[in-house]
Amino acid sequence: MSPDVAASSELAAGHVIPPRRFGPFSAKMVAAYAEASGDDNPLHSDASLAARAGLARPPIHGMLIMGCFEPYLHAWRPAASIVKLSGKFIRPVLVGDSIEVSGKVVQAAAGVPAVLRLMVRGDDGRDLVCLAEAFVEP
Amino acid sequence: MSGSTALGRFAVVGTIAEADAFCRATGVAPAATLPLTYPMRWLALPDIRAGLLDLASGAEAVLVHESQSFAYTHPLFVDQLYTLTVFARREAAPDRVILDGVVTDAAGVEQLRIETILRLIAAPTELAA
Repeated sequence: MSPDVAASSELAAGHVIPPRRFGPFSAKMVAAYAEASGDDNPLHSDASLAARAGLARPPIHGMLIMGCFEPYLHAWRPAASIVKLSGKFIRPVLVGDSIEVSGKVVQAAAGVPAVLRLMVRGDDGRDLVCLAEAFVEP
Repeated sequence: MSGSTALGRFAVVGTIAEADAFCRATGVAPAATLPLTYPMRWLALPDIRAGLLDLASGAEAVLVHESQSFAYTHPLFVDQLYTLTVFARREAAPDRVILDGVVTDAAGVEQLRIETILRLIAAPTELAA
């Protein structure tokens, strides 16, 4: 298959993007994200606060989960331009947990960005923790 | 924006050092453009945080990130000065705060629209917003 044909089939509706695991997210990784993003909410670092919120461990930042989409999509198509990204956070991911990101092209047509559905599942591979959509130009 | 409170206009930039730190923390490859989700750093500015907490005041609740959207017209570049204009509003049923941001370049051309939805979730007093 020529590179052009391979590229066009990757952007056809129904194409499944290979899943990829991220994490486990250590407390050190969460602290680095807090520093880099400016989001220093103590809920993400203080186990006692997390416990009082009913969580076994501090939750990682939702935006740290969403931040995985860019390397995920660029591993699939390095030259892709992501022009829109939106996501809904469904369940918390806790420090020490991993996630699996998967994706599928749900809409593709010439001259307009392809629409991708992105899903993030937790360690058990079943629980959906984030559902997102990306618009990607080839 | 109807029903919204203007939280202000802010001069924003992602320096090389800040962008590199963000890339390391998220696994994004460093480039001339800022990572897609980098503008979250600007939403952490003290004046914006204070405005959000004002909108959430009176609620025995914590602000929980419910959803996030970035819609780019043009990519943002490292070390380039932009203006971020932010509006926010409180909604009931469900109780939440919605923040809308627009990033423009030096010529006033829109580059990015951001929407952040923060849900107010009942919580113990010591965690309340």
